[in-house]
Parts: sequence; C-alpha cells; structure tokens
Amino acid sequence: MAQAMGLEIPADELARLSSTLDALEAAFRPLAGKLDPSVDLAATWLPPAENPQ
Amino acid sequence: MTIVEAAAALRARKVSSVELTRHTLAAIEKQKALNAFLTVTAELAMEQAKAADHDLKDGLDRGPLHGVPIALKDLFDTAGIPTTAASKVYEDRVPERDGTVTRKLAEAGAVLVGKTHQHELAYGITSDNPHFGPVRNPWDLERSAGGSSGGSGAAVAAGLVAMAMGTDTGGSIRIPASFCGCVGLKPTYGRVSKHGVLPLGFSLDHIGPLAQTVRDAAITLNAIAGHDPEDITSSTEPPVDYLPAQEPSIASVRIGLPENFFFDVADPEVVTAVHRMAAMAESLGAQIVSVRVPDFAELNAVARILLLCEASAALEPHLNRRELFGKDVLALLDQGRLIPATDYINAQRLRTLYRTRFNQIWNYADCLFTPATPTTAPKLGQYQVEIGGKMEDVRLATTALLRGINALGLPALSLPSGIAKTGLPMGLQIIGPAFTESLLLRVGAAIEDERGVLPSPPVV
Repeated sequence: MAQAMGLEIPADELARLSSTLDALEAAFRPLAGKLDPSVDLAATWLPPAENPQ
Repeated sequence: MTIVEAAAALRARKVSSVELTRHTLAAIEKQKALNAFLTVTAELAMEQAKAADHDLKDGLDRGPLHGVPIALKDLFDTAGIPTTAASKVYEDRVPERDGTVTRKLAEAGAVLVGKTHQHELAYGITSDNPHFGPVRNPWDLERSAGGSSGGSGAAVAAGLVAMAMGTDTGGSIRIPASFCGCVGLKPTYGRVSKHGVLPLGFSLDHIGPLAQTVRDAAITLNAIAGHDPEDITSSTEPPVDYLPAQEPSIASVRIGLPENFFFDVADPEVVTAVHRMAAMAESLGAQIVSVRVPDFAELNAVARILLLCEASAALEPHLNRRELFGKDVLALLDQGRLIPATDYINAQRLRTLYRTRFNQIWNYADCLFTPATPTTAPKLGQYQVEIGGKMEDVRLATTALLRGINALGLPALSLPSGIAKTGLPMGLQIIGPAFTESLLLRVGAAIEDERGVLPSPPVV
C-alpha cells in the first residue's frame, strides 16, 4: 500500500509498523464487518447533545 | 497556593499580583530540573501582574483568576510568543493572534508565566521529548510526568502554578493529572473552543485545565467555556456556573461502578483506591450501582483508527521531512497513512453506534467511577508495564481507560485517589453524560473535601 501511494517509508520501518497495524486491524475489521448498512456517520462531528443520532 | 487562596489573598491585600508572579517565576527557575516549561514569559508576566494590581486597586475586578499566575501548554496560540507543540516542525512558529482560550484567560485577568513542555506534537503519553528532553515527574525525577500535557501536570503538581491548560485527544489531560497527582478536567467535546490550539485529532481534541483542586478547575472552566463562532465544532449549549458550593451535596447521585473492563485491566492497588473513593461517596449519601459498559476495548480500537488517520492528515504537509520527527511520533504518523479511507469511514460509523450504546448507561447511573490510569507513573524510557502478571505496552495500557471517552466526546474528571505504597499518586476518573461538567465537579469537590489534603511531592 505504501508503494502504491508513493509514500517514502523505509522498508525496515514498514516491517516494524505492519505488526502493530495488523493487530489493530484484527481488532477493528470484525467490528466494521458487522456494521448494518443503516448505520450512518455524522458528516461533521457535532458535540454529543447536538447530534441528532 | 490555589486559585481560590490566591484570589482571597489578593482581595485582602495580603499579597499583590506582582509579588505572586515574582514568586512564581523564582519557583520555575528553582525547579528547572522538572523541565516543565519550554518558554518562560517573565517580562510579559510582570507587565500583566502590574496591570492586574492596578485594576484591582481601581476597583476593576475581573473575577477569581484576576492577577493569578497560570501557564499554557505549548499548543495554545499566544500572539508574539513561540507556540511550537514541542516539535521541530513548528520550532520557529510565532502566532500573530491569541487563540480563544488564551484570550479568554487574559480577559479573566490571569497572568501568563509561560508555555509548558509536552510530548512532541501532543502525540504520545510520556512527554519524553527527543528534541527538548523529558518532562520529569515531581514525585520522582526518574519517572514520566505523563502526557501529552506533561509540563502542565508537573508544573501544577510541583506548585509552580495553580493552573495550567492542557489538551486531551486520548487521555492527555487525565494521564499527567493521574501520574503527577493533580486534577485534570476534559470537558465535553465542543464545550471549550479549539480555535487557536494546534490540532492533533480534529474530532477527538478536547481543551481543559490541570489544577491543584477541583474548585480551581471549575473556576477555569467558568472562564473558558462557551460558544465560539471561530470553532465550527463549538457547542451552542449555554454554559452554567461550574463552581461547586462550599459544602456540595451528592445525596442520591447514582455512581456507577463498571462490572466489566475498567477494573480488570488495572493494578489492584489502583482498583482498591477507586473503591475507597466510591465508599467515601456512599458515606456522603451517593448511591453506588453496578453497571455493565459496552465493550471498551472495541471502542478503543475505533478511537485509535480515528486518531491515526486524523493526526496523519493534520501533519501531512510536513511528512516529507522525516528528520523533523521523533521515532515514536513518526511511527504513528506512518501508520495513519497506511489505513484505508474505508476504515476511517467505518470507524466514524462505529462511533455513532457506540455513542448510542454508551448513552444507555445514563438510564442507570448519573456518572461512572473508574481508575484514571491503570498504574502509577512508569519510569522514563520504560516501554512495558506489568498489569495482572502480564506485560503490556505502556502507551496502550495507559490510554486503555481513557481513549474511548474521547471518541464519545463525554466529559471526564481525573483527581487523585491516594498515594500508592511506592509513594506515587494514583488517579480516579469520573465520567458523565454530555455537558454534565457541573455534576462531575460537584462530585469531585465532595470527594476532595472528604479525602482531605494529600502529601506534596518531594520537590515542593
């Protein structure tokens, strides 16, 4: 992905980052996978009391 | 001296603002080993102090902060004074205008003595800064003051100033408050303007005070809360008087103790201290209820995705100059650039879901008591910490009980819950529904009054 995006991140640093990111994605992706299509996001993040959702 | 004490002494003519400021500047100089300040604004402070004394003499009283020395984290724009975020990226940055909070504190008569040191770009929790050295903890100079508002925490805990402003994107006010043994208030998202504060996570950044007492935090919130047309995320919810009464009543307040997560991932001594605070609240008439909270580890994962992406976006213009960043910050910035946009969007959708789920708690409890940090302050350079016999990453463990609250935008107060056997302070976190700062401060003040004064750190 870094290559595709043209990011200049040294290879050794990329290797170090990937394990941390993998762990985060392992926790996150299952949650995202279970999202119902009806769940919207606020286009602008409003203070909780003022957000209609 | 607290803000309340200083305000009384100034009005009784027992001390002048010039004397207070001179004393503060001398104390900052004496405690240089803490490395709590990046810039000391001695000349400006003396000018402001003279003006404050003059105004008070003429009968112009701007309120409890009038003539009281305070400090700002180095993220707050100050006209003509370097505002660098303790980074090389912004090393030469000198704003032309004050930010809104800077302006409001000046209008309240506060005397600015300097800009406090912090974690580089506010992106970390140790304040062990590769460019300007570490902030040191007044309880043990070999330990972290926490971060990112480490200089503010150290300065307040060491008694250099009564109050110093901080910012909190994933715990950055509450962590130094817990590690240094002072009070830290993260108000509701939108309660305090972010205008003129360098951003880290646009939808996660909160602005609030670190202070010696709960009442001093309340006095500060009174001065800085309110709608600001210059900040599009600023709330139009009218502020109230946040200062708790002299003998605040917490009778019938329902205090929730989470059944899951919060007490499972903290040191037993920290857990015991929170339970002691809950028992204290119960003795004052509060009702203790057991509540189950939505999966906080999941919410933390959502908040991490949001922060990684938003911080990398904020610093994108500078990321081609890798030599400007410390190793830990650069690693996080690189991670943020490798997360797909779909993950960021889904994290925002999950945030909506968790906010709805978390708000169900308020049907059963008026606020929650949890530990602020799961441990006391780690040593500088320590990367892992032992919790329940398991080694954990210091950054992830320290933010575990805090980060999710930023994604929800809820207010949270951290105050000392006692001193551990190691001689280091421990922190209690009180979390409430949106815009219930006055309740949190009332509960905090009642606990603080009942708990009594804790010992001062050895450097004082």
